Amino acid sequence: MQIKPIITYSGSYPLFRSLEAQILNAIPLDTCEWRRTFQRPTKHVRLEAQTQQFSVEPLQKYKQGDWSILEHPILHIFVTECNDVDTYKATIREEIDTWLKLLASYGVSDWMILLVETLDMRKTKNLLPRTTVLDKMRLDFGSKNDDRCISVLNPAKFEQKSTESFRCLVQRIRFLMLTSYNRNIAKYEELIRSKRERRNQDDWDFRQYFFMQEDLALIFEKLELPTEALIQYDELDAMFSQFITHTGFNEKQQWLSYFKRPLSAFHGICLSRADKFEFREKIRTEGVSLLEFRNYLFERQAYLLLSCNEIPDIAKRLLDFLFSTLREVEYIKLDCQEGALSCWEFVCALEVLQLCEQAMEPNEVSCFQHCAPIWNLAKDKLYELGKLCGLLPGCTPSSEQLHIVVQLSSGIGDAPQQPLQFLEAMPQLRDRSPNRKPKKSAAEQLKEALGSNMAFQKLYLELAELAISTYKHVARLRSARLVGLDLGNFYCALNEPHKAVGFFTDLLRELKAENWHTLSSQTLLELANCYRKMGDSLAYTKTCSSISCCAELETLVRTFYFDEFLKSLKTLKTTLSAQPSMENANYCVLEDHFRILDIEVLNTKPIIQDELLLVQLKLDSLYPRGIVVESMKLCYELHVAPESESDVLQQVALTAPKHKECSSRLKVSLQLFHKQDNTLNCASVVCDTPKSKQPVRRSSSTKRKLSPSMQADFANFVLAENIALHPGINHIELQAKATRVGRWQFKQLCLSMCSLEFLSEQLPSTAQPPSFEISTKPASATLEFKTLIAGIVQPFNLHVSAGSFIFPADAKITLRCSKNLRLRQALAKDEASYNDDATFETQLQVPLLQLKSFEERRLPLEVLTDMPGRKVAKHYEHHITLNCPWSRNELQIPVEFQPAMEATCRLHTCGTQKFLQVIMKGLDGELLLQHAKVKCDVPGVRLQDLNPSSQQPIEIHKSLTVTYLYEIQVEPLKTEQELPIVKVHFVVKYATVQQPEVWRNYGCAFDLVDYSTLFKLQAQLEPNELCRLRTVCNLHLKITKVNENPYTDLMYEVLNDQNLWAVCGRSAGVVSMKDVDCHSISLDVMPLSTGFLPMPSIRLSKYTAGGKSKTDAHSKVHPFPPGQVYNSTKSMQIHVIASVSAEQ
Amino acid sequence: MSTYYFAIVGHNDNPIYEKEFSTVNKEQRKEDHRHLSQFIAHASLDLVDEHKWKTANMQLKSIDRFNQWFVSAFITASQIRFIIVHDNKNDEGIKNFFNEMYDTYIKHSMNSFYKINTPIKSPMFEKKSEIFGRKYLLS
Repeated sequence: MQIKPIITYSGSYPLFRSLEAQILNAIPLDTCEWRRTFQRPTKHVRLEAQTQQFSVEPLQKYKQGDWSILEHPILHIFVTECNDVDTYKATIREEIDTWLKLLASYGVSDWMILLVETLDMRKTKNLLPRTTVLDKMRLDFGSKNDDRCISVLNPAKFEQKSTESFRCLVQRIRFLMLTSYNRNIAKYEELIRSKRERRNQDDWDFRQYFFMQEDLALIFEKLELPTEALIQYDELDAMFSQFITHTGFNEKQQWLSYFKRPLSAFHGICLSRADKFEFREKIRTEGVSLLEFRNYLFERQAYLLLSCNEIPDIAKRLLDFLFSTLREVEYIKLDCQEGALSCWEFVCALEVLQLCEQAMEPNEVSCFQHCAPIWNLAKDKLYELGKLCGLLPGCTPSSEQLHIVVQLSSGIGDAPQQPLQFLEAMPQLRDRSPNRKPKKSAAEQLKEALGSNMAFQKLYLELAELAISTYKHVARLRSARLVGLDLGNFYCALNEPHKAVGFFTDLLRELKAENWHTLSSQTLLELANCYRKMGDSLAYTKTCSSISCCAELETLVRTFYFDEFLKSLKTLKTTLSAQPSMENANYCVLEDHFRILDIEVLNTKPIIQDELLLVQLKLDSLYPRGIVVESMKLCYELHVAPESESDVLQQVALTAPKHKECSSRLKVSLQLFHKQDNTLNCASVVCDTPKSKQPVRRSSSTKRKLSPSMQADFANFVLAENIALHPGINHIELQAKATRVGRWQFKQLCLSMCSLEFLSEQLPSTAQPPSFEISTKPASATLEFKTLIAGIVQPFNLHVSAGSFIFPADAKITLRCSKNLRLRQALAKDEASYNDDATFETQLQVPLLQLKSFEERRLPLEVLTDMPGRKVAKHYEHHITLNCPWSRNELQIPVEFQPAMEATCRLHTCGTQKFLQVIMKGLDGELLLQHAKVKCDVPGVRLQDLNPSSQQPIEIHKSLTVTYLYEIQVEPLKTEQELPIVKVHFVVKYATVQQPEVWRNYGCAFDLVDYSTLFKLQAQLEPNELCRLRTVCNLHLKITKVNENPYTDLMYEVLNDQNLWAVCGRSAGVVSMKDVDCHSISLDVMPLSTGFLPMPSIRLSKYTAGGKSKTDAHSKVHPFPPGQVYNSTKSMQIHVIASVSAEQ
Repeated sequence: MSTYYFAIVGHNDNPIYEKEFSTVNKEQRKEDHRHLSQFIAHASLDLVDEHKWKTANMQLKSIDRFNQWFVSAFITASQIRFIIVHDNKNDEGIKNFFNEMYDTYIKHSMNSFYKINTPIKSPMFEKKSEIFGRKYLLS
């Protein structure tokens, strides 16, 4: 079929014919810019054209709206060679006018007037004519569009000169054609639209509409707009299926019956047809079946896609095409032979695949992505056909089936025989290897496959392998495995189960890893079948076992396989040794059959070495019936502690995505943004999306092995033997002797049934106790006591814990005390030696009679420490050293004692008399005191006891004090210089209230200093009977030397309260007592406050005048210690009354 | 006659919810294609994973063909995959169904007692999916 735009000519026909060939040849030589309406992109188009004599007929159709853009003339040319203005005016103008009016009457404005100049004016006459014919024409007709009037030098006569004008002409023709197309396409689209709107009217015919729109598509294709042409076809496609599926097949759509012819032939599509429009003619003339129509439509679409170089799109559209067509066939209820449609689908699929194969580079994934499902489809369709025709493995076609084959083969038809031409026409198609035999057409391949079982098998296997490899090529492993399932089944049917096993196990592995239980149990069934055929009894047993544990399967199936399992298990015993099986082939995955729910160590913690380790296992048996397990071992390995906490944290962070399922909460964290001055700018909550995942995870397939290859080290395990396990939850106690010390962790559970070993992959983290510890318990000895008080018998306990140490019968613990500390074993009150302090020893041996391992014994002891007299209450620190039979090292235990009481002394002065006060203060415990005594060995110093001589002991207790008073009498001759310190020893007897018959001594030594008065100080205020506020009084100071002493220069100071007294004049002064015994000083003081004021206090100090030696440049003042100066008026008070003047 | 197989697939490629909607009665269907829809859904995971990074849309539309079956998918914000294997073109209905189920799934996942990625065994969820399946897929 030729598609060329039509140009008509009128006027001087012979003249045009002479130019025709030249013009038509020139048009396609160059492209022309096509400015399209509605802002569609401009395009450079190469045009072709054909010419026709002008006739009214097509214009008539055009006016009636019954035209096709394909047949409609696109440009009308009026040709004349009139060079004479007069002739023009006489005839030609009239002619043109009529022609134009005619065109206008049909609404056509695509015209052009061509003036061919045969005469060279400038040559004949040297004068230029005033007006030329062209000017006239332009004046007459081309007032608005003078570009439609064009003159050209007749190329036949002016070969040289005409080139330029001729080029202009052709350019003009191209331009006008495209302009015309702009207008006409718009108009035609309008026409199509109106036609489409009438589609529900009775007389509407889809075929008419189809050709109408297809014409537009063809024009687009011609104008090098394949995508727009494709749109037209797609619209037609959609419209057609909509008609069939939506409006349904009813009486109203008469035209539908046209497609309702039986499918006697079911040729597939052919993408290498020589005559692309073969079927277009057929549709127009004799009519086609639905399949043929659909084929044609798809072929056209495919061709257009191919010219856009969109080959992947062809593959992408194929499945939609096939299945929507099948659906349409179903809707229209077309009769067809069984298998016919499968044949059609198969041929179509293969045709597209062959095209893709030729066209695509192997690394162009986009195409293979769509090819993979097509391969699979072809494989499935072939299988269907094989099933229909008895070609499956193990079948022989019956005569009936042979008949079907013959019928189908005839219906498939032959492929058209010009494939090479097509290939050459398409530069983007290439032959991979020139030497390769040209591939058989799809139809031929199918026929061949249907011809014999062998050919069928060969083709099926080839297709399946291609489907798998293509899926793998585009990284769709799961789909590849799904196809593998079919292939595996086919191999099984072929009686080659060993080839099938790989496909099944691959699929099973992935399904199991991803917990698609229903699917994995289905695959297991296939696998069991496979192993049975192979006679691999071990694998069969294992698979049966797995199947019987699949909760998804029906009970009947499960029990059947359970019986099979038991049966097969028995035979295994005899066959296994003979079988050259793989290593560890008898291992099964425990998790497929049992579920470990909990593991609990029943022993109390810590577990002592050589104890019996008891472990309770909570196990869920998935078998449908009870089963006996010969042995059950749970092994444990040394626990490897994480090195440090930071490591643990890091690990957690790293493995977080893996264990994501453990925490269902999103990881939300707080984010605070601070400004520069550290104030909060904004706070937000962020949640990290789980981006750590790879876009396409491909690790999944290796996630899980079908059989455990690793057995943990079963050197240490707990064991239970011959256990019957019920379906559901079982509690099993496993035991073993805890032989080795350490921190242990359970690693793996192993169940043995005959020769099968069920090994756990990983113990569930929820069921696993973190670890347990087997240890030897060391023996220990500790001292138990409360607050200990010195000086009194104190009870305390020696606590011996035997641990796992084995004691000799006469074992002893030796206790050694530090100085002043003594021990004895506790005695009862009524024992004779109870009150005997001599029973306390500094070293004590405590016998541990018949002490057994793990025994704990508490031995009561008593301790006594001396109470050395100290003035300050302080803890007494002691220690007890233990020497235990289980250890060579001595154990030193610090012991602290609180004093029971304390004694302090004070020296008091009264004039020249001196008194010693001893204060006993109870600190802890209740004590009785008696026979207090002071001793002083210094000659000349005598202490006179002033205490009442009472026989009754005095009881003291905490915070109660007892005071003893003694007067110190020093012989006058003994000066203090001789005896600066007088040592006095205070002794008192004490007893506890609980043990009043045992009196212990408490002694305390005091050092007495400054025990004689040197100076006496007297102060007197005058007038002393009445003292007024703010009145100056006279303060008399009198310093008297009482005892001879070396201090001559004394300094006195009035230390008055600034608020009470004001001293007028000097408040301090130095007096010399060198030769006098008494000194009087008078000072003026003034009371500042009313009431009873204390006498201003006077301080007397030793004074050393400075300047006598170089080292002592400054005067020095040393205070007297208390006791050397006696102030006789110290606490006197003066009554001050308000002054008279104040009252006034 | 139309069949829909709906599955929710968790982060570890494990199915956490499965349901079939069909106008065909059960026995017949079982004979027809045992678990084929499930197999197809599982096989399409590769393609879903490939597509989900190509678009910001949650609706992945019809992404895969397996013979006459279509596979449509939906990705939730937390990368849970909803997959429907169907043999009828019903883009609008599936889109609505996915949206409703997404809503239901979110509510269910907010239950503190539900652990993400574990099978959904909620009668409420079951009921809702039943309702939406009837409303959007089978009508």
